[in-house]
Amino acid sequence: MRSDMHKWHLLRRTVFILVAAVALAVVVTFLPDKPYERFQLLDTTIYARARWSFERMHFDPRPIDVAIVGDSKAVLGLRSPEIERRLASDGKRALVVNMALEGDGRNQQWILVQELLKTKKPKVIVLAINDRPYPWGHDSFRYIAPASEIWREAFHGLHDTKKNLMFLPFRQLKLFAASLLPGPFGLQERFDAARYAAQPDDPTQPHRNRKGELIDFAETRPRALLLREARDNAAEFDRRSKLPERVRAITDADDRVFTDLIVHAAHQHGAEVLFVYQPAFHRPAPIVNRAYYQALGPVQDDVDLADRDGLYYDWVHLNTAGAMILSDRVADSLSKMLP
Amino acid sequence: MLFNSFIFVFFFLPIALSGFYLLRRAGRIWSMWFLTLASLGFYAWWLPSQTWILLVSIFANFFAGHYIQVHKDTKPSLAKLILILGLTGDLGALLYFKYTMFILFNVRAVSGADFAIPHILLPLGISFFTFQKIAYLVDCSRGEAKNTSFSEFALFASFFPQLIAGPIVHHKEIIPQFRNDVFGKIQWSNILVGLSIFSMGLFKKTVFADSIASYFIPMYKAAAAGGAVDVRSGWLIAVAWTLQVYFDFSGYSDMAIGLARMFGVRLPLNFHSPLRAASVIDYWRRWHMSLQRFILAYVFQPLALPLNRMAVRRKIKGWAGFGLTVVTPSFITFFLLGIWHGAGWGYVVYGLLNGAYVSINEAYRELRRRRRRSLQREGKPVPAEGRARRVIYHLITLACVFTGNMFFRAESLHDGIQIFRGMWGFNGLGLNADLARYFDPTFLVLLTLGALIVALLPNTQQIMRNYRPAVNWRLWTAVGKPPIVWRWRPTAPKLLFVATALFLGVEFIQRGAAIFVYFNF
Repeated sequence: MRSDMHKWHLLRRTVFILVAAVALAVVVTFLPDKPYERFQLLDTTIYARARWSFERMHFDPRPIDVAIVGDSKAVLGLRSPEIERRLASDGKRALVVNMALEGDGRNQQWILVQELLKTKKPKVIVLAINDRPYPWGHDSFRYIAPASEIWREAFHGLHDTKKNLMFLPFRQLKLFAASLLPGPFGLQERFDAARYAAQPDDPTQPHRNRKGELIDFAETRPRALLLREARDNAAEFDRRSKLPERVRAITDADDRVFTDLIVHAAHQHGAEVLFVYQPAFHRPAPIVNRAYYQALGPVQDDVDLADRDGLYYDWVHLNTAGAMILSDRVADSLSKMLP
Repeated sequence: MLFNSFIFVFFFLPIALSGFYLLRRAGRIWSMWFLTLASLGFYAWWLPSQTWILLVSIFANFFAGHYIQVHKDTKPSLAKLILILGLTGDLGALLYFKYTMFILFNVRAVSGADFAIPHILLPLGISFFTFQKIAYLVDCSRGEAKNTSFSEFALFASFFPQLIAGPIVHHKEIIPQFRNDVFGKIQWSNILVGLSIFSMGLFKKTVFADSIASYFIPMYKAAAAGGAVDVRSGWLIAVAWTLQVYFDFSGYSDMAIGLARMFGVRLPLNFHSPLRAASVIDYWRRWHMSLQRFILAYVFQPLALPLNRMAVRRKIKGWAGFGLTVVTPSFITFFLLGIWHGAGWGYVVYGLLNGAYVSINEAYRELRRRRRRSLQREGKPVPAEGRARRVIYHLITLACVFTGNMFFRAESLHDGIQIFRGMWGFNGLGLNADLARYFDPTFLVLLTLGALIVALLPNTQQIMRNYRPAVNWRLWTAVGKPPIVWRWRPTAPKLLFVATALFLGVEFIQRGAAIFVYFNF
């Protein structure tokens, strides 16, 4: 190295590279993007239905009176046509849209609710809950959340902060490049009405998966099989990070942070929130945070379904028969809330 | 562990660097052992159950080398016996892990016998670390490696920047650096230069190589799946593959050189703009240079020397002599080089094809030499090579390289032949509709950009030339000068260039940390 560069100069220059690299990453997070393109980033994943939800909210002129957000249990267990039918039989005309997505994590549901409230005036938001709040965020959050929401998550010190913040500059670079050249990135700037119309409003109808296997949620499973699945997967519900308890109080707060935001935003827009708990098979666990949810809105507890094997498609999801029962119960609760 | 992974960049590397330099205060030996253990951890991260192979290799070769060093002069026959045993052990392990399945598969196919072939997992980097140990044992027997302590050898044999995919290093260029008084003392110049080289390598790998791969792989699979490969598709596949493997492996080598430099060690070069070579011989001097160096010193020369002596003794001259002294060792060397890459008939063809290229290239040189001498004898001027002729040389070299590389990439000999036939028009000139859809404009832009970088810009060591980027850099300073000269200096814009390369290199890991092509070997 040249003689004009002594130790401190070199140290400063090394630090300059590292700081500049981090600064670039931060600056890039402020690049503009388009929400519709963010939702398209999930097109090739199991969360592809998020795009349909976005299109339903932003491009479909029909109103949304009741919006369902939650995880895969809500996807299969809350059938919007059945809820509409039951409400209609009570003399309540309401359009119900199920926007639930596979996978846990309240942060992603908050993004959907934000988008919903931008364009629609729902009367009730149905929010699926678990007996124990899921401590991590949703995998799709880093794709669909605006940069400000990912920074918000970081501000709260939640679990997925690190990986979501790491991903953010890459996503923003990609979206920015796509805004200049959408074609090569496979993203569409404009709404494709034909594509949207080709997708079912209710994704729980019998269909074939990518392997060509017929998926029919009307099927039942032998009780022994369900019990084995429930036993094998029981630990999944109780899985927690290995961080100390005090730290976990901060990092595991995804459910509380984003539930608060959802409820607050809903109330601001004149909507109520209905919490619905559907148990996994053979897990009649009480809702740990019942008091918290009850302070925010009515809680519908369907724990009595937990041991009825004829109602389950697998160890965690209801089949069509179970979904009909649950949907009717939800409709009954909604009937009391809707004008 | 991959260099292009978050766990490496944000966890392993900072800890390894901090531990290495902090422990130096307690003594150089502490730094060395820390780095050795960190390197073993780096290796074990991939598949802990295979670490014993590396450990056995380190212990066995150290003790073999030690005995050879001690008894070389006093008991030469014992030293020779130990050398033979050591080499047999190294080559035996390589043969067992790398070629057993291939040999058994072919024996079963030829004999028609019905027996099960065991699945033998190839230990990571075995071809690289075995060659390094072979070179060490031979150097011990030649008296070039002396008084090596176990701590020095253990670090030399496990030093993580070069452990898994090279550059293949010689004892004599690395151990003296460990013995240097400043080894382990932090020198910010090394950190700065090393970080800069590493960042450029990471950028080449994650931004270029992986981007090309994302387009190339589906097209290659479609071509291999069936249908006749047409001329344009064949050449597109071949060009894309060569650029991918170049950016991938040269990027990896840059990262290795940069990482080693951060620890105060200069590694040898592995690539020196090989795709700018004007002959296949020159290409092979500049592609995977540390392997070529090994092959030349430990295979070609030991083969060529006795053949030359035989030619002199038996008075074999002219083209017969050329065939004996040049073509024969070239074919054997390139055959071995081909199968070094892997056990498969595609690699055999790759080696033999390159053996043929080099032999033809040597023959052409011989013809030109004779013609020059003849002109000089007649007192006529020797014409200088024109620009057009040099362009033709470049094009022929690239055509040879692209063609040969397809056999290197092909998952079977059949696939390789299919693409070869397509490239050279045996399947007709019409565009195959199934492959036409892979002519994505972004893909073509990416390849054009990659080709322009390769053709015009300085390579990493030329950019960093002011700071002696490699241990053997002085041998290469005047070779392959780029059309565009650009030298790095620690000025603000150029530091920002490195920061941008680092930022993009790290961010593009988000697409998924793809393994390096040469990890397969």
